[in-house]
Formats: sequence, C-alpha cells, structure tokens
Amino acid sequence: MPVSIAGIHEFPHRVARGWSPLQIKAHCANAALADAGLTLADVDALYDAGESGGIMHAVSVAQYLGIEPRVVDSTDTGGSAFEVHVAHAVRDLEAGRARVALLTYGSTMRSRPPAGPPPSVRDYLTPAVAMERPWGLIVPASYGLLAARHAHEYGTTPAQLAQIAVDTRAHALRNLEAVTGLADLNVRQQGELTVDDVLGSPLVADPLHVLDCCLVSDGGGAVVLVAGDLAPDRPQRPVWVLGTGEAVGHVSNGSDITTTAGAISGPQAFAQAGVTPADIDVAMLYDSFTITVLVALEDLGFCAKGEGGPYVEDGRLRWDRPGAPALNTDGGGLSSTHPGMRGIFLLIEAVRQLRGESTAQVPDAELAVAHGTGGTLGARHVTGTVVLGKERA
Amino acid sequence: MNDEARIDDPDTDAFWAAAREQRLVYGRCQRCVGVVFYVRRSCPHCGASAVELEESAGNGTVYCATVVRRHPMPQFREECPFTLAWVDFDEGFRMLTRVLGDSDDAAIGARVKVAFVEHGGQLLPCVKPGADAA
Repeated sequence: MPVSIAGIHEFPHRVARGWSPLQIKAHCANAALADAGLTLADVDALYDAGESGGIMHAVSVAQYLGIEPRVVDSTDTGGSAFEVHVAHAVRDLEAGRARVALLTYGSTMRSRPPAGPPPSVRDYLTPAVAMERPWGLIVPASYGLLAARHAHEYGTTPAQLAQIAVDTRAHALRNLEAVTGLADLNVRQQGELTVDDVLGSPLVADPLHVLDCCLVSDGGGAVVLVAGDLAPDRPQRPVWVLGTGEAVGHVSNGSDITTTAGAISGPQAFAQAGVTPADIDVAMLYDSFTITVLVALEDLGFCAKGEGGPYVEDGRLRWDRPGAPALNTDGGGLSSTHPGMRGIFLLIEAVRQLRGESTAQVPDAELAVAHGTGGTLGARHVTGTVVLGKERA
Repeated sequence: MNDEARIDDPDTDAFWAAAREQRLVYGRCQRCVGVVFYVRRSCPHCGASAVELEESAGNGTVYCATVVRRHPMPQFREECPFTLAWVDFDEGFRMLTRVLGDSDDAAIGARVKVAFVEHGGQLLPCVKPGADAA
C-alpha cells in the first residue's frame, strides 16, 4: 500500500485562549505541510470531522485555508474520524484521485465549551438519543455500564482498569507538553499516579473514577499523507500505511456490549498489513476512559476477550517494558490531551515513534497501531484501525 | 419529558404517548414478527415499514447498571446519585432506564418491573426491584 504519512504537527497547548478551532486547524495544517516539505497549494484532498462547526463544515475549512481540493470527505465518526480519514485517504490516493491528503483538527472545548448539551453528544436529536437522555444517560455513564458488564462477565477489577491510568500518566510525565498541560488544566494530581490514587479519586459512574476518565482540553493537530511517487522526496522518512479498518457498532436487543466494532476493524487492518498484534511495538488506543483501552486490547487481539484485566495489571504496557506494546506513549487522553476527538493524536504519536522522536521512545519501533473509538461505547460507536510501519510492506 | 430530550419525532412519539397512559410499549414487525426497539417505522430485521406497537408486561432483567454520581445538567445533578441500567424485558427488547431505590437492588441479573415516575413533566418508565416470574 504505497501511501505514507509525510507530515505531522500537534498544537502544543492544552488551553488555547484567544484561538478559534479554525485558527488551530490552519496553524497545524501549515506546520504539518512544512514538515512534509509541501504547502497548501499542494493539497488536493481534504478530510474533515466537523469539529469546527457550521453546516458543510469541510467546505468552510477549505475556504478558510484557501484551497479548492478535488477530493473532499466530511466523515464525522466522532473521535475515530481521523483513523477513518486515513482509510479513505489511502483509498483516494491509491485510486489516483489525489496525491496530497490533509487531515486537520482544532478544538477549544476547554476554554470555549459549546453552549447547550455536552458536545460529545453530537447526535442529540436522534430517536436513539431520545430513548436515552430522558433518564439522564451521559457519556461517562454509558462507559460505566460497559465496565460494569465487563466486570460481571470476566471479573475485571477497578484496580486492573486503574493500572491503565497509572501507566499512561507515567508516559505523560516524560512529555513536556503534557506536563505543562496538566498544570494549565489545573489537574488535582499532576505527578505519578498509583492504583490507589485512581481508586481513591471520586466515583463518576460506577465502577469508573475521575482518574479513569480522560482530560477535557483544548488542542489540535494535522496529518499529511502522500501518494507513493511523492514519498521519496520528503524531508522526513516516510511512515507507511500498511492496513486500515473501519466498523460500526451499537447496542441492540440481546447484544453483547463488551465486544466493540474493533473486533471487526482491528483484524481487518492487521490482515491487510500482513502482521499480527504480537508484532506491534506501539499501541495508540483511544482512551476516553480506561475501559475503552481494555476492550480495545481484547478486540484487537492483544489478548483474548475477557482477559484484558490480567493482561494489563502488571504494567506491561509501559514504554520501557519489553514483551508487550507500549501504550499511548504521549500520555494519552487520560493524561495528555483530549479536546473531544482524540483520534488525530493517535496517528501523530504513532508517527513520532516510527520516526524515533517520541518522548517515551520504544527502541527500534517498527510497527504501530492507531485505533480510534468514536461515539459512545455501550450506545453507538465507530472504530477505525490503522496499522503503520517504518518499512514499506 | 425533559426539555433537553423533547424532539418532534414520528418514530418515538408513540412510545411517550403510551408512557403518559402508564403503558410500556415496544415494536413488533408485522411481516417478520421481529421485536423492534427503540420503536421505529422501518424494521431493522427485514426492512418492512410495518412495525406496530405492542404492550409489554413490564417484567425484565438487569443487563448492566451504573450509579451516576456526577452530571453536567442541573436537573439531573440534583438527583445524583441515581442508578441507570440497560434492562432486558421479557418480550425481548432492551431499554435504557432508571432503577428506583437502593442501587444494591440493581445487580446484574436482578429481576425488575416497570414503574412510571413523574419526571420533568413527563411520565418516565423506570423499573423497581421484583418482577413476575419469567
């Protein structure tokens, strides 16, 4: 699959007072294009998740950037949108419909939260949501319901979930931007965490505690993908897209909410890449909540269904522990940044690892997976899985 | 219903109209006889636009439950903590609802029965512990 990621940029601040989402997107777009040795004039395919608002949002972004791309894709699958965008961009670039694809993200959810209902419930006025909201269902409660069922079926403990938050914080503390962000966001506990710290933080929706939940920050980023013939001439070494998958899941009568669409998108991406989870050096897994990571580990096949708890509890997902992938080495949504849709940061940190530029660098990292979970597990969601490699398949 | 949840929706309005009469209803496809919930015109099993309402006896089993302890909306915040659950009703539909009373009664597998509660100017189908034999 001769499509590669040639440029990345992450907006450095977790509180971006004075910035608008469009300003953040444009800033990151130009920085990522510079990283790729390209300019806006080279972009002929634009992918947009709609977080900057407005109707026909992708067109608004194109106009703001001053570009008239030949391919436009306004797929909004929540936090997984950027993994889905990569899947679509690969399709478009391989078909020869475009040569330079741009993904951007910008959010001021922290400093300028939207008025009205919680912004994570973007599908507010749908019949399904009308059958949930009157009883008071909110996103953390939906994940609490999932975690409660997982605990019932498999014996998963709060301490096992907490270990995910502990490991992720250890990674964040190596990342200066995340450390600064924890201070800027006035997070109560800004240092290392213990399992007891997580279990001692207030419950939000049983069995999930405050420290099982992601941060709410501002932020943004951009990713540039290029067609195969452009790859050799870029300033950075290419990071190849080896496989992609996308799938939809929702609660229905008699369904098993502990299994996510990742059980479809993950194997699809690994099969296309010709690799297995055991080959993966870095696992960038969407961490809206600790349970989101646990079920992703199972559904992607890092461990069997139901064995996520024992799999994580010894801290094997830390960046410096061989024998298992390093998890969310930038500090994740739990401890670095989560402006509402975290998917682009999964891609950015995966690329940093494969370039050898992470602050929690896995030695000789060759393969990474970025797995986005958008929407709300336990209600309705979309997963996007992208397998990235240092070497072309 | 709460203002936040009110929509003018041809699919789910009938559910709320029945709730006002203290009846819990679900959908049944008249072509494939599949159970449809939430209620909607188009059958997700066979595609027929032939889903009609049937009345549930209101007995079900807790599939999973959580205690909500924090809430961003004022009208729910003052009710915290409260228990939410996905309940599998005996007719074969799964509904998000609230478990009344002690959260200890909302254990997974617990039998529950529908109970209508005035909430935000609407009769809200909730559940309470205890149900008729399955």
